[in-house]
Amino acid sequence: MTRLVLSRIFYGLIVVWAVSTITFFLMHSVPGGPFDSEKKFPPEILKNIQAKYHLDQPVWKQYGFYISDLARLQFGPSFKYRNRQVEDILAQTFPVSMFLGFWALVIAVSFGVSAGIVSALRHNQAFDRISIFLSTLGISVPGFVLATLLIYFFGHRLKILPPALLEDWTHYILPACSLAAAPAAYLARLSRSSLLETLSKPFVQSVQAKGVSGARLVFRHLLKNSLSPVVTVLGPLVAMLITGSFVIEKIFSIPGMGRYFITAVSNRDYPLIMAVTIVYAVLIVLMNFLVDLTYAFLDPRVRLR
Amino acid sequence: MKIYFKISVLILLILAGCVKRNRNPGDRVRYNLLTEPPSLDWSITTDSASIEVLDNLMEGLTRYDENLKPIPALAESWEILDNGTKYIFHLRPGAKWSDGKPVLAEEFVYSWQRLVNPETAAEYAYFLYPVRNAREINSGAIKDLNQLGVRALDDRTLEVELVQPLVYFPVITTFMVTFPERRDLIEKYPDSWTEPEHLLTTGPFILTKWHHEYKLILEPNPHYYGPKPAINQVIFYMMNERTTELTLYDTGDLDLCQMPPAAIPSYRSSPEYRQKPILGTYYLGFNVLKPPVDNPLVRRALAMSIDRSKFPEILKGDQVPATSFIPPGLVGHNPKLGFEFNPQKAKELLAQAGYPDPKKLPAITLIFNNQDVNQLICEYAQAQWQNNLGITVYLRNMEWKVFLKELQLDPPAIWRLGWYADFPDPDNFATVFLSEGGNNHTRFKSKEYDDLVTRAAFEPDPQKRQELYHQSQKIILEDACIFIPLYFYSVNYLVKPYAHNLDFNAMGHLYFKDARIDFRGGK
Amino acid sequence: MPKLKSKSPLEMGLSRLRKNKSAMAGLGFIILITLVAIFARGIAPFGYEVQDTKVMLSGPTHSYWLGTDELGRDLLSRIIYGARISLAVAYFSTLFSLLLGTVYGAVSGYVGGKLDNFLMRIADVVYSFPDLLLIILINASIDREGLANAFLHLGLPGLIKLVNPEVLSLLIALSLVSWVNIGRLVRGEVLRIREEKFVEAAVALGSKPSAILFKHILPNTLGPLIVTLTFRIPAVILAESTLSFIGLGIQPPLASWGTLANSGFAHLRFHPHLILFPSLAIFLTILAFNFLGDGLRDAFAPGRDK
Repeated sequence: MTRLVLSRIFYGLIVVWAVSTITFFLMHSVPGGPFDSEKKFPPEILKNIQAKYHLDQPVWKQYGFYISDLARLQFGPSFKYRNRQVEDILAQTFPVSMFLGFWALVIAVSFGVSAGIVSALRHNQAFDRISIFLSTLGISVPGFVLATLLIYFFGHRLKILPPALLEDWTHYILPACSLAAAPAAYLARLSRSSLLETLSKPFVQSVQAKGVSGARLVFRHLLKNSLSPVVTVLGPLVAMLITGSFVIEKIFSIPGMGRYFITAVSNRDYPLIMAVTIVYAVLIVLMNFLVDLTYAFLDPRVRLR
Repeated sequence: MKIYFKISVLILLILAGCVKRNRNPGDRVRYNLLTEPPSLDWSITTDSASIEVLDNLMEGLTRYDENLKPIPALAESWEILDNGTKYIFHLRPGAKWSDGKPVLAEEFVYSWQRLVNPETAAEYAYFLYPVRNAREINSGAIKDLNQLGVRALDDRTLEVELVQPLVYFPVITTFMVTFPERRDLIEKYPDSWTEPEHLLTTGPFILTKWHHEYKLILEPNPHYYGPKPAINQVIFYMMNERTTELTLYDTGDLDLCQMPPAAIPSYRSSPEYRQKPILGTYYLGFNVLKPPVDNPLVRRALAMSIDRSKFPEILKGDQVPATSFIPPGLVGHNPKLGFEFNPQKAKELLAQAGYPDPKKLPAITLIFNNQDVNQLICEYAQAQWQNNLGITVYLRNMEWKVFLKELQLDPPAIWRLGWYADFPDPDNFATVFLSEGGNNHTRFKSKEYDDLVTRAAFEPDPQKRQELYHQSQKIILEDACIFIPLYFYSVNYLVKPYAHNLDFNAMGHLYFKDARIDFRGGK
Repeated sequence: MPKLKSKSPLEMGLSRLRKNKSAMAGLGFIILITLVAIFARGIAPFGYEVQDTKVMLSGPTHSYWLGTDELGRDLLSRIIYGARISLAVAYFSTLFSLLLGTVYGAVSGYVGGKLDNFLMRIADVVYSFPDLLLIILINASIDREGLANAFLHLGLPGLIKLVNPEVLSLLIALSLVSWVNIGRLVRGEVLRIREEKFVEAAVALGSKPSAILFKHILPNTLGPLIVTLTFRIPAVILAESTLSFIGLGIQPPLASWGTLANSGFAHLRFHPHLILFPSLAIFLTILAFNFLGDGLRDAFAPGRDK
């Protein structure tokens, strides 16, 4: 087990390094510098700015600065928000995204898994058909379309839920629901097929023969045996939430990391883009690590590569 | 399924019941800033969101009155010496920072030196280039910051030496980059002195909270020399969507909002609707070296074949169609300059230029940066040229940064830009097209034009100034026709009936210090 | 692989597919929308840039079925032309990623050993990242103006209209991301099939590896490959429209469905038709592909999950 953990950590570090290097070089091939702006400045001013951010150095030297800063978890000042350090920006925005993502995950898991269970238990009945249909809808509706619809009806028309801002808990409802839709649909499909598979196994019949049924059957015997694949999709789920956060945070003006990432890309704010990408990379590596551990834990037969 | 349905109905009912509508508690103004101010360091920041906030936090030597004339602020009075090359400002005795310490002349010297110091890398450093040695220090030719032509004669007297006489210098001192700065504060917290825990200000408000990318809260400055603001809080939100802003205004979460064009018709008859012209002009520029627009006849033909009368309808906010550049309200504005819509004449000009068949015209490209309004305008212009002249113009749009790079390196035949006043003087508009002007992307160079504009800047007699601007604008608008003005900007906004004294000025600035919330109505 | 004499697996699969109503409906819609995109010029009632300044921002009327936008352009025509861009991006990038993924997977699976291990690790990393994140990064780093200027200097400004640099750049980014699923799939199939008797026989008979790959291995991976491709296309449409919606994809005046929805968002409150119809087009197309994909999977690759 220790060996497994260590090798996974090592592998994770390599991935994070590779991602940061690739991002660095991608970002340095971007046309248009970060300091072009509407009013042209005398060349002396541009030179001053470039010197301050090492932009006058050759690329390999900039890369050196970047990697050594990275090792010390320092990303330097943002190009756009010139009085703020990138790590401070992350420290402020990451919790916002996490909080929203957490509630979206709660909604997704509670609705998705329960819908999946019920439709597996009522296989091929009306509920099952409707829930399959709804989950296909859920996977097919782009996040921005759903968010737009919710904003239109609850914000602009009914005016009962705020279409933006984060003053109190009511402000979280629309964004969290929009963010949860796709993962919920995904989970519903997954837990349904996984439970169906368990139901077809012989032990279920023997348990049923002993007279166990209803809630007891589901919670005691079925879930335990069919939820492990559900746990292991944590990786893809987090990826879905990250992708969703780009759109949802932008539409609802939520000060989270996704929105910063989008603006950083159009502002050519290299340090911020790279830092956010690395945070995502770490998050994903961490999730996959957890998933691997869960696998090993739930099913000792699984030998990891 | 039934259960789910019941649950969702229940949730909806609970929501509908408990969602309170946010009524203004009577002591605050809530406004949408649209974007986060990238920085509140007034030496470094450049964008309009920062300026909107700083206008309420800080005051400098002078400020604008309602007619955009500079009036005393931290400076009680000033003298102009040596034919206008030397100014002496006398600071107001009651001028204090928000920690109660008096404002010292030395703090202006520090701020101005910091601005032009190359290490600060301030983009607006050129604002002080009229001051002696500012350009030399900023470019590194002079290392000693004390050579800058500004000195504290004593705690309350500031002396400024200029390179040449400048009639509008007290206008420049209304601008944020000239505001004083506290050396003790900046040296102690170099990275965080603009955060609410540390920031000290001289204006009517202080910054009490800054939730980045979300909101800023301002509260009255107890040590402000003028009358205390009547409101206890100004809240700036940062939502980048005008339609959402409007809905939040409707639900009572905002007290003032700017409007998306599409909403204007529905609100026109509302007593809350207001509209104000802004000192700014939208135009299409030519690269006068790129064929076929290197021929002035072709340029004039293009200028004459856009029907500008449709702009108010397209933009819906009473934007004034413009054939000239200097906007109404400034000396030098002359609506008769430039070319009216005349497609017949345009066709003749085109024939004269050697293109009786417009299909033979070499390809013309128009670039713009992607933004809804630009897209509308450029697509409209494209259709106008197609219909009125039979010319096909290719549109290309690009991101802002790429767009600017393109303009600086190799502008295509036509592009769009707008010019907003940095300060309310025609010089700010006329200098855009100087031969060596950094913002002149037309590649047009004229000694005659440069001379006229420079003479106008130093001409004290308004009558003569008007005449000089008439002559110089005629050159770029008609003779050379290096760009096509399209319309003058305006701002369209809604103000709640209980909010008083909230209006944009002609520079698009909004001052909250006189704002008042009163539900009983009346002034 | 059990060989059935009476009916080939293809025939059986097809008959299973034909019975699946939602999959057939999906297929029908896809064919329809593809034809509409190809023959946009003949079908659209107006050009996509034709302005009628007398009817700006009108709702649906009998001459403008889906209403008009803020310059009086017909929304239906714009959606029809938008189908061209959205579908072209989806089809071509899937095609490119098919080529890329097939070569990658085939090489990895066929060569095996250390190289296989290395290539698959790379694929794992790319796979674990959200598509959109990678697409944004790659798309942002492609020099579109460089591409455009190259066209201009070649004296082909018309080419920009045909192969717009924006679209090209997005196409490259999308292709560079979506090959992974295909690469993994092809590798798995290659590993499985190369153990089969008939491949061993071909090797024994002295066929070249490339010939074995193209003659024996690839045709046998066709079924699962088609299923994967059917799921890739809606994923690409989703990615393109989302990117364009948040302003990082295709930019106006080009009208993809995503850009139409983007410009419609500003009108959400007063003229919701401007965002409703483009969104509906995106949604229905993705839905159709998902229905078809589900049907294909059930018919040809039962028991296999995405």
